[in-house]
Amino acid sequence: MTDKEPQNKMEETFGGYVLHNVPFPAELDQVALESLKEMGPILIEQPYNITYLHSFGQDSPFFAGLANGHFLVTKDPGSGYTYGTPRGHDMYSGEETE
Amino acid sequence: MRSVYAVSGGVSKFTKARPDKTFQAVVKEAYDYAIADVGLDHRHFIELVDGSVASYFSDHFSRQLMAGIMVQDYLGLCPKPGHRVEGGGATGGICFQEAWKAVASGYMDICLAYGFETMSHVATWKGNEFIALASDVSFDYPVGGFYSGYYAMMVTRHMKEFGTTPEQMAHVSVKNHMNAYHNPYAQKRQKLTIQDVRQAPMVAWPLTRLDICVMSDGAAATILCSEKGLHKLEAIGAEIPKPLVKVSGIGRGTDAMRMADRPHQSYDEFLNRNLLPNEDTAETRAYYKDLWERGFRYPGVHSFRAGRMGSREAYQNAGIEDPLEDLDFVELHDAYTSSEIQTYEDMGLCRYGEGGGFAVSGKAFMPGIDYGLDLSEEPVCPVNPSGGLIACGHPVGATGLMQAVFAIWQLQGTIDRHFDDPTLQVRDARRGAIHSHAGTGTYVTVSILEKEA
Repeated sequence: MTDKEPQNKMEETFGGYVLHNVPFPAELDQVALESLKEMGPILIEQPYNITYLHSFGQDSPFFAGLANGHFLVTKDPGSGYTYGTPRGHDMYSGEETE
Repeated sequence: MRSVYAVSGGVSKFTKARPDKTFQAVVKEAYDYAIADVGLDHRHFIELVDGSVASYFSDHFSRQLMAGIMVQDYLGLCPKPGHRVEGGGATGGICFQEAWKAVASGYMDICLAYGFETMSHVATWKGNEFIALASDVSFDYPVGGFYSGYYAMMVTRHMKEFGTTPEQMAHVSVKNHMNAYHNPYAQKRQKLTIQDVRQAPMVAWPLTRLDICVMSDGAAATILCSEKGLHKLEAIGAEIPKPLVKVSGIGRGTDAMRMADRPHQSYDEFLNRNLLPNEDTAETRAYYKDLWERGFRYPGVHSFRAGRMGSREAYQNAGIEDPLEDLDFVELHDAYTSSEIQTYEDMGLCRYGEGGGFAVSGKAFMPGIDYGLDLSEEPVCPVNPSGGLIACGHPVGATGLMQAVFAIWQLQGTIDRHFDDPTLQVRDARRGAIHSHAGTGTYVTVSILEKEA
């Protein structure tokens, strides 16, 4: 258990890969090796980008409707139960909605 | 524990991309097939089913947290109990076993296990990066960061240790792609030669593109129930094929995330912890003594200790002593041709070190199919009669359940009806194993399904 307060606040940066905190003793004697337990953590700051190709699938007409000023609803053909959301199948009958 | 029966299943067509539907609607395809196959409709089934287990591997691929509850909702299963499981490539196998536990323990009489993955929403290289996050992000990932590289390293060791060859691996590819030629659910249905496999673009030596499974979009679902659950389903008109298919044993093993942390066992430990009942002979002990003296150590990076532990436990629970003789088929996790060979050994279809020879022997091939190969022995226990991951595709959360569905159909003797082709029906199939594998061998599940006498 160390009595050192862990550093938990860092300046935000806007660069690419940033490597923080890699101190290391110049001589690896016994004292230096023991001191490694007290070493602050290595922190790597890295950008991470993902390009997603998201599909609205069977819900596409609903959103296309919204984009064109229409509010479409989905309806179970048997019961007439109507959802104000894009829902491809009715949760009670399991049937494909209209 | 109560007896657990696997009564039905369904699989969506595995394919590169399903932009036509959301993941919930793809699972619905598999679910609808599973209930229709026993003559039920949604209204009746939903009244009786006690709950579910959901399986999908990666929140990164779905970019949707809580995707499990969205499927539960879409299928109309709310407000019944359900939860999601995750364990890398073994997620589907774990899901099947958690559904088994729900029924075996008496918690549920009827449990639906469903799984899916939508891997097409990112470019393939990004998908490979997501998958590589299933390795230690501080240790393995910065220097590898690519699963095909990890498996190439493992098989390179297997080659050095046991003399396994790329051509032996290519036999697995030819077999599985050819089997899938008769499976309409498979993503890659191809007739290949050894030369095709070896001349395909190299990914990570010695693994070519035809040694490696592909990413897929797909879903699968199975229905497990107790004897009481069977009666409930039959009371509302379910026509469940007889003899029944019972899940007669499950097993699961684990291993350290970093392969470099997996300790070598002593020779005595290796024998005591790993020998299967049929291997405990003077001849096999001498075989392993000889291997040991030539430098073999276990588990090493050439073998999956979790696979052997999962197999041993499942065999013990199902009363299997000699897997090659006692199993009529195996659907195993062939993410790579090399890992199919490694898994032959882990599952005890042959001894450690004999996987390469086993792959070319013919023992794991289907009878009645011309593979265009010169095989020295007759088929004994077809491995991946469906085509496996290499040819069916690997939509991770669905894969272990897909294996369960194909195993149910094999044991029900209904492959012809589902595939519209009888070629892949294992004749008189009485007992089969399904094997699901995560990471570099961190979680491995083995479940035994068998037809009641």
